[in-house]
Amino acid sequence: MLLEIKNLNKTYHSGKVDFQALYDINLSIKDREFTAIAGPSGSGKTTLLNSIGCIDRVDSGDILMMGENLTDKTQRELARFRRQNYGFIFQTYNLIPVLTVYENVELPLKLLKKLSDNEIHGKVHEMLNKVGLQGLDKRMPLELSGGQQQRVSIARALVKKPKVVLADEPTANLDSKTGQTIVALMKELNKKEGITFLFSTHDHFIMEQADRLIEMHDGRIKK
Amino acid sequence: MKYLFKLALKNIMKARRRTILTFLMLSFGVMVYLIMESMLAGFDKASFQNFIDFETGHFKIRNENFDEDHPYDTDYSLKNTDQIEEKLKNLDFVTGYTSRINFLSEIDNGIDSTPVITVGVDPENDSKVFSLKKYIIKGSLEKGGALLGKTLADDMKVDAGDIIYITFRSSKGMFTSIELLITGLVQSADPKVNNLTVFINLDEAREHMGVEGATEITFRVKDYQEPERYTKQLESDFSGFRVQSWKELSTDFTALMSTKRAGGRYFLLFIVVIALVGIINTLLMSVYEKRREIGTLMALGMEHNEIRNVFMIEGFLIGFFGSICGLIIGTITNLYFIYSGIDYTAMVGEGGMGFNVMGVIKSSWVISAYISSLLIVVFASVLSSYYPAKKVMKMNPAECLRTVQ
Amino acid sequence: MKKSFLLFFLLIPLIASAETADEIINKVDQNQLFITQKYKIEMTIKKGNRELAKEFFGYGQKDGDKAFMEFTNREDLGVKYLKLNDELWIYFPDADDIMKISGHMLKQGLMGSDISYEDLLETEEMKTKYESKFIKSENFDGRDCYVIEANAKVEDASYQKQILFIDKEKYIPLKIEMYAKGGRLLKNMLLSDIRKVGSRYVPWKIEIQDKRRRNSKTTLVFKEIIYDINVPENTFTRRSLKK
Repeated sequence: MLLEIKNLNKTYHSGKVDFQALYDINLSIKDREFTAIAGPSGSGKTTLLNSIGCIDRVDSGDILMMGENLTDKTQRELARFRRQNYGFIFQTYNLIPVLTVYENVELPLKLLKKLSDNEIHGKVHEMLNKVGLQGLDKRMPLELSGGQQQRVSIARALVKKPKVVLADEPTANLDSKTGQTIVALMKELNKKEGITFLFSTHDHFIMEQADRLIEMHDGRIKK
Repeated sequence: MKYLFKLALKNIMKARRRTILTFLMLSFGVMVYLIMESMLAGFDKASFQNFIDFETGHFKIRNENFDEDHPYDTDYSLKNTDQIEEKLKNLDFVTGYTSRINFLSEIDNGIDSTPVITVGVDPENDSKVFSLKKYIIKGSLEKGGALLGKTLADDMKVDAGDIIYITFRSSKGMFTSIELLITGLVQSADPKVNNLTVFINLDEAREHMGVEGATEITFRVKDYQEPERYTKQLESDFSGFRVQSWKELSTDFTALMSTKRAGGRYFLLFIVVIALVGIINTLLMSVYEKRREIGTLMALGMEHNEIRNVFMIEGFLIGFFGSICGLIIGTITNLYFIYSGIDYTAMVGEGGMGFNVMGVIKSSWVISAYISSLLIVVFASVLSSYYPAKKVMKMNPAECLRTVQ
Repeated sequence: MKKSFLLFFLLIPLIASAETADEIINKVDQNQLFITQKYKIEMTIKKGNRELAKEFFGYGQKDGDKAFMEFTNREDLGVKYLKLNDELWIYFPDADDIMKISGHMLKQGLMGSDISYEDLLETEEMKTKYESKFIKSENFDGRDCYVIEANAKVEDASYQKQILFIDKEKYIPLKIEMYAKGGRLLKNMLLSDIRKVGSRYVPWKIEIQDKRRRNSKTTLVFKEIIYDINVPENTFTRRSLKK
């Protein structure tokens, strides 16, 4: 099992009001799975993804990834773990606006500090080809359409061949046709590269593309 | 680290108006500081040159008991000036010498009177040491006559050809009043000469004052930058006298100069404040505006302190390039001030801002100003970027990513 | 006999004068002799259109030439001078500091007046430094006066020449002209309002004019003068300045 989540609880505090976002979540994800998390807004999809991606703390429970318990790790260890094993795709693409397409895709590899510039160059171009952005490497993010930006974002998430790609509503800002091509791209890469995908969505068409569908409601997983 | 630099640089290059404004203010501040320091150094240099040319020469020999607190007393003078002059003549490193008598008197035109410094000048030798002769604008110094500073003459409402009186007490104590024909006017770079000096013939000064020799013998040497190399020989040759180099004679003057130089330091402090305020403000805004970007970088696996460092590097770069830019513009502007100079007299009048200078002053290169402004501004910039940058340390990536922008 | 008698009378003033130039000066000096004195003076300094009024009191002790002065007008309140033999000290209350006046500073005017520190505090005895000569008798300011010319005998006399108009009856100079070496009239001193204090005559008003300046005059008017009194102890010590 690639990822195991046990008894996960998370409560948000906002002034005197507490809002429990996750209730006792238990979940297992297999390697190379293409999993969608569905549910209405506020059902806890994003919180679950953030918790798995360890960009947010949980109150209790365990997140085991390849046998390692991520809830015990320090902030710095988590940053390093993310750097190695996670790719992120965001609803709002979140490309770094001052960097070119090439530089955005290159960023995770630079952070790994393992590869030479030549190797990076090869990998980035290979990845840009895979997402169909060849020739746009010198463009700035804001010069691209939403779909193109999300392709860049996918390239950025996948370029380092992470174990898991976490995508929070990757198509929500795109028109449905573009959204479908993006999901198709994700699925293609999942199959070709053997990378596990975990993504949230409330688009029925996209849910249908998933190998497995997890439905959430009010912070709980529907059985 | 190199990559962090690259990121910071990219951020700076795509800077917002705020950043550009801070950058420009720093550049401007550094530029003004550089120009100011160079100007002050130019004033200093000119002042010193004037001080040497008009007052100290390179060395002075005076009576052993000469009282620096009362430099115009004639109680302790040099009796045997001829002997000393002869000795100086035989020293190969001495390029010129002259005797002078300095004393205080009151000048009057029968209507007004004012205290002045009276200087008895050796007409033959004076120009070998002092620049007085070069600055005579009218007439000359002749026997039975007086050479007056131009400003003094204007104040007394007299001109060449008029009669003035000087009154003083001779070295014995008797009131003496002598009538003098103004035979010349002098206007020099030394305000003291212009404003309150009357030059008369040395022999006449001796006679009226009842002084045998002179109050001082001033001389020039070949290598005046390093008067120390002559000190030993001079001390043994002229034991029983007080021999002082221009460096020793100008200690008060140097102190005065350094207080004036402090003005430049204050200005630097002012730039540092700009740096602090500007950079803190710029980066603080930037940290808040880029929250989602920060969250993204964190998600991509960048550590908190690395992101903090990016912001600090931004502060460093603003300070560094701001300084460099200011220094370059300042240097270009300075070329004019240094090679052409500016006539400050026209700007500030003959008071000369309290500096010992007049006329066209050329600025000087001040290497230390480059170094100190660069170091201090960069240091202040990095320091001031620390506060906004450390805000990153407390940020939670998920919260940052949630930020709606 | 008659003739010679007449001649005798005619000659009297001449003989008397010729003989008494020194004596006259002696009598003047004597009139000014004192052991101790206390005075209060109002001083008016006029320079062009400006006029400054000052007030001070002082003690003098001829023996050893000691003098002490303290200003009492508002602007200069507490400024004190002390003269001990050849040394002159000044105390400024604002700075709370005692300073020795020496060298060229002695040549400056007392509080900006036409009296230099030397003039006021250095009392030259005429007979030691000057050779006196009777010139003529002349009426000055309504009084019969001897006109005496005193020429410096020594180089350290202050003036090369002084011309004194001395009241024939009271032996007080009513006017003193002071000439610099070179023959120029530097200062004029006018003494008037002669009053009798004890056994001596005292000019109640002294005017000093610096002839090198137009419209420059310093007037001293005594408010009080007492001779040969007991001077408070320690008056002539530097400690008294700081008190």
